[in-house]
Amino acid sequence: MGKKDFGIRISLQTLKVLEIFLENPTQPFAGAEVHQRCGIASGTLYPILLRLESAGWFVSQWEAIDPAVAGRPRRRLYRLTATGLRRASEVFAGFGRGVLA
Amino acid sequence: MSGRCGRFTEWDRVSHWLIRRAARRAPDCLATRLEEEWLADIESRASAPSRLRFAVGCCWAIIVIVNDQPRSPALPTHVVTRRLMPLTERNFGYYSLPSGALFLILGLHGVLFGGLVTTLTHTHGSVASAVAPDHGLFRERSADIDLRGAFVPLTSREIRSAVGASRVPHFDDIKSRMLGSGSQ
Repeated sequence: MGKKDFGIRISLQTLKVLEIFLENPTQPFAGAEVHQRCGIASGTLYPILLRLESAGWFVSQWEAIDPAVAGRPRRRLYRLTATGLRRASEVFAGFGRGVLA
Repeated sequence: MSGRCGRFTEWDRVSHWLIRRAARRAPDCLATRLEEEWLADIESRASAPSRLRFAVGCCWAIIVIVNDQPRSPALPTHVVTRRLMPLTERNFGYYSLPSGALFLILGLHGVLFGGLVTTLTHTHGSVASAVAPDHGLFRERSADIDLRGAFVPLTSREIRSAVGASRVPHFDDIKSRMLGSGSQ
């Protein structure tokens, strides 16, 4: 915990976020959905999402909806990149071996 | 929000104001995006207190995001330039985080020191009362209690008058006896 891995500080909260994305790597999630799934507070969640995006593990894009039709504003959706998928898998594999790379 | 909840409460106004205020503190490339993202995500919160907690969390998030800037490799150039601004050039306001922490630490020290002095005063006074012998050789100092204790010893004249002159030899008698025994 707290050890830098590929330039990312792998904390428990970061692992929780990555775990949600690894369950279905192709599905994009909004920050609100990640919060509902793992219960991480917004003050912790968004810095993690931005950190992972800055490191190239995530990409984000606006939801493709018409706010007037949907009746709500568009959300920012985050999705794992191929690099993020590989590195997140390596991090979890490292924990599985009991050794954090 | 007004469409989903039926009414736009004062709490929601505060929440939205907090989010806009937090987003304005973000780097230029992120300010608009974060404001729109957070204002969209706050809609998923069911209750007004929950939305307020979300907004307060966003205020904390922006502090972390700004502090993370030096470690973000994928930021645009103008953000990188901004993050390299020395700490001394930052415009820390009167109520900024460092000032608040400083006042908090000073206040805690003051409270601790005041509590320590008060406790010592009371403890010393009670100990002096507890160990004061109960044979009438001490008189109470009710008016000027201080750290030296609540009792002061009586003078020899007061002791003689209290227990009787016959039982307490006068200093001159003791001196004469000693001189007398020495001469013998």
